[in-house]
Amino acid sequence: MAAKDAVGRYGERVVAQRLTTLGWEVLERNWRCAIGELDIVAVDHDCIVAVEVKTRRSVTYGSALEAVTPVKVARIRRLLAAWLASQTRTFTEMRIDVVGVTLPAAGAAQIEHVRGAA
Amino acid sequence: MIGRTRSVALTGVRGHLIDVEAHLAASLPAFTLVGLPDTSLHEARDRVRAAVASSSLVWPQRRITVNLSPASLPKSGSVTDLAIAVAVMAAAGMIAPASAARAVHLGELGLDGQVRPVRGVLPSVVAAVEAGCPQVVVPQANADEASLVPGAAVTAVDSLAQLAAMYGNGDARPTARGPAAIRQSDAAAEQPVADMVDVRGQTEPRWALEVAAAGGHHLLMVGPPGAGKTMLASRLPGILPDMDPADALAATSIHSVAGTLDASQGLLTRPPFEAPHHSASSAAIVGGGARLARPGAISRAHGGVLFLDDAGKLILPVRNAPQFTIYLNQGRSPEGKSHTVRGGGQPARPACASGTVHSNRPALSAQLATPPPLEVPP
Repeated sequence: MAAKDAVGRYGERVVAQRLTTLGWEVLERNWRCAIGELDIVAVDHDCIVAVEVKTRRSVTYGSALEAVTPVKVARIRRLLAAWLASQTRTFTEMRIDVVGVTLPAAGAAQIEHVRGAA
Repeated sequence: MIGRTRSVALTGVRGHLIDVEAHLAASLPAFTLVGLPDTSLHEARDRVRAAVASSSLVWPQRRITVNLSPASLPKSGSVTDLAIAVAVMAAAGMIAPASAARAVHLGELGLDGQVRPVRGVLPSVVAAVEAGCPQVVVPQANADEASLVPGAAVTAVDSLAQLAAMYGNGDARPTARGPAAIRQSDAAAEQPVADMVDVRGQTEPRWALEVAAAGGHHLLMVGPPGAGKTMLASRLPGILPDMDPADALAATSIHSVAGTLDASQGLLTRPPFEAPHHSASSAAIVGGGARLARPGAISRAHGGVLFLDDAGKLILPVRNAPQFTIYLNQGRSPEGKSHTVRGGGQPARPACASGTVHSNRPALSAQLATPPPLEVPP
């Protein structure tokens, strides 16, 4: 596994733990279908949330949040619809969150959670 | 989180005070600019962002919306770069919002955070003072021009970092200095005004010139080549009196927008002399251009002399332009205006110059006189 993949996996694990501590119910990790992959699918109160996690080791090439472009958000939207179509459970609201994780050379990961991205 | 400041949008040679507001929302990083900006103004997003980063400041990772109000007024060019940067920094809490909101900011930003000179500073500062906002921040290279306006409290800056420091940001540092900004002035080198004393004989034409100068009349000279028409006409500005203060301010504003002002010489007081070639385009003579229309020769001659050498050969679009007919008919009337009509409004540019029309061939001048009646007031 390439180093960058390991960084991504680590970031997703940190975020999943964080969401559980917040009281969210994590339903899915790395759910795949023909059009792509959802990092995390979780329930916040009665709202179904697709969480995109972006992890970076430095901000030299721009921040983690900046790397999630409008095109990517649009794809996550389609993926969340595809995921909902495959479920029987229903939800009253849906949302897309983006979590940026920056891993400094030393110390704890910095997490920025954007609720309701575009 | 909202940051506010002010700037000026120009239509013709009139400035309009505009509010620049920046809103930072907790969402994915983005930067949108609204309020009827044109393409050159849309590019401000990239300049402002680079300029802030080059001033050792951190660009806020937020969804940034900048609004230029009133949103119905078309805005153009790079003059609002500085105000956009200040509004964003105020919204992000990087500078003191109160001091940023008070002042009017004018200036283009370089990618290195340098504040570059812009056209039309004089009418912009006049508009700011008239609207009751005498505190203006202008590029260092435009400081002389801004100081010409009575009642303006001018602060000149040469970098964004310098301004951020003035507004209480301790971290701002300019990065490596590039070469000094290129002066945008197209001002021609000062030419000595030809003197009427050099003219030998020619008693009647000299007397005609004196009458035209005293009364502000148009003048038509007809004669064979070599008779001295051009030589005489170029000596007309020398016998005109200084412009009155209102004309001087209007003329200086026009030259500021045209980019032909050398502000180190202060307000223009001597009547300008414009001698466009007969093959000049309609835009060159009556003014024009996309969005921010540039004043033409008629406007640039405001308060002075417009010399049309070989007027009979002027191209048809110029002779048929309504502004040209109005100009020929009005003489030096106080309400003289050259109208340049465009989608974004009807900016009126003052143009009352004394015209000197010149033709080698009487037949052609008669042809000019028929469709737009050329009346030489008695």
